Amino acid sequence: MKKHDIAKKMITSILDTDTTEQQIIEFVGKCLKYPMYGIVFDLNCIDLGLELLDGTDCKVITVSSYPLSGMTTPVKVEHIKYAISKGIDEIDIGLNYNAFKSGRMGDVRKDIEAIMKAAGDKIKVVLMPQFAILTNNEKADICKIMLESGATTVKTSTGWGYNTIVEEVKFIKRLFGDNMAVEVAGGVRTAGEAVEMLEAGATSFHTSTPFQILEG
Amino acid sequence: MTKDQLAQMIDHTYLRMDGNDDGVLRACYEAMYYNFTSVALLPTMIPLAVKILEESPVKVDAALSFFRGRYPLELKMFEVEDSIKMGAEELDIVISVNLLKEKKYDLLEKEFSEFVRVANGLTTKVILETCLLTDDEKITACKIARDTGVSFVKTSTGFKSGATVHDVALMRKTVGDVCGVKASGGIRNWKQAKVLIDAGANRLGVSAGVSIMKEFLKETGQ
Repeated sequence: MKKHDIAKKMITSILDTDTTEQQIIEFVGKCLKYPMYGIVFDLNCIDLGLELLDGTDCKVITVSSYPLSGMTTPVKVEHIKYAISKGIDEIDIGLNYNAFKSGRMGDVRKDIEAIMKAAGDKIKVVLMPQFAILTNNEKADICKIMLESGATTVKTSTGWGYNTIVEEVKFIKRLFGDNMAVEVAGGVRTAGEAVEMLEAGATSFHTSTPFQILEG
Repeated sequence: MTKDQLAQMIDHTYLRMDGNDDGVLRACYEAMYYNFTSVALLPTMIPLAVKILEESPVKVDAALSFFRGRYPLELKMFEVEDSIKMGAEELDIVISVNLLKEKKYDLLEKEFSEFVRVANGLTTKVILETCLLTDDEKITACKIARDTGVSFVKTSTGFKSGATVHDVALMRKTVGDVCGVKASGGIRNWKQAKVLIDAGANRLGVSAGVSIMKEFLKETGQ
C-alpha cells in the first residue's frame, strides 16, 4: 500500500491539555502536505480547525467525553449541538463505561439512543466503547445496540491508555460485516501496523504519530 | 492533628475510566466510615453516590472537564450545572491551560468568575495541572483564582503527574489564606500527605485515603 493511500485513511489529532493555537497551526500545516482523512480538534478550538482546513478535503473532527468517558448524556448531547452549530463533519464520543462495567446495558442503550437522536443526520457520530476493557460478549452487545440505534461506525478505543489489536477488528467485521464500519485507534505507530489494520477491514485509523508513519 | 481533622482534609477519590458501581459503593462506605469530606467521582457516577450518601455529611465531589479541560466556557458551565442538578456539592474543574499558555488572562478570569457564579455558593476548586506550568504561570493562575472568589486552587488531575511540595508551597504563598490549597495526584501514604500539609495544603485528593488514615492512626496511637 502506498503512503499516499495510507494517508487517505489516516486521522490524527493534537489534543494535549496545554496545546496552544500556535502549536495547532504548525501541526496542521505539516498535516496538509498529505491527503489525510481528518484531524481531530478539541471543542474549544474547532473554530481554528475550521479556519485551517477551509477549502481542503481534510475533515474537521471533534471529541466529546474523551478520553475518560465519564461525562453524562445531557453534557454529551450539548457537545453534539455545539458541534452541529459550528458545522463540523464528525464527532467522536466516549460511551458510558461506568454503565457497561456495571452491567447496566439499559443505561448504555439510553445513552447511545440520546446521542444518535441529537446528531440526527446533521453530523457523523463515531462511538468509542474502549474495546480493551470489554469482553468479546460485551463488544458484540455494544455493537448490536449501536446498530439498533442507528450508529454504524465504531472506534475501537479512545486511543488513550489502551491499544487496539488486529483481532478486535477482525472480530467485529466477522460478526457485523459491512453493517459496521470500524475505525482503529490506539497503538498504530508504523506504516506496517496501519496496513495490517486496514487489510483486516478497518475503514480508517487514528494515530498520534502521523509523520513517523508517512515519512518513516 | 486529630483523626477527624485529617479525615476532613480528604476528598476520597475514585476516578477510574473502568470504574463500576461496586467501586462507587465501596468509596462511599469508606468515606462514611472515616468521615471524609467528600467522594470525588466522574459525573456518570454521581447519581449513585448521591443516593448512597443522602443521609450522610459526606459530600459528592464532581470531577469536571476531566482531564484535559478543553471545552469552551459555555459547555464547561453546562457540565457544572448538570452536576449540581444531580446533587454534587463540591466542584473540581480542570482549567483551560491553553488560555494560560497563550496569555489570554482575561478569558481565564472570565472562566473562573463564571465558575464561581454558576456554583452559587458550592465549593469550587480549579485544577491547574501544575506539572505543565512554569512557576510564573502557576502564580498567575493562583492570583486570578484568589481574586475571583474560587474556594480552592488544586495542583493536579492525577492523570499527568502529581503534587509537589514546591508547588503546594508556591500556591499557598500566592493565595495566602484567601483560598484553600488542594494537593492531588500521586499521594499514596501518610508520610507524603504530611509533607504536603506542612507545605500548606489543607485538602488532599487521594484514592489511598483508607491506608493514609490507618498509617496516621498507627503513628499517632489514636
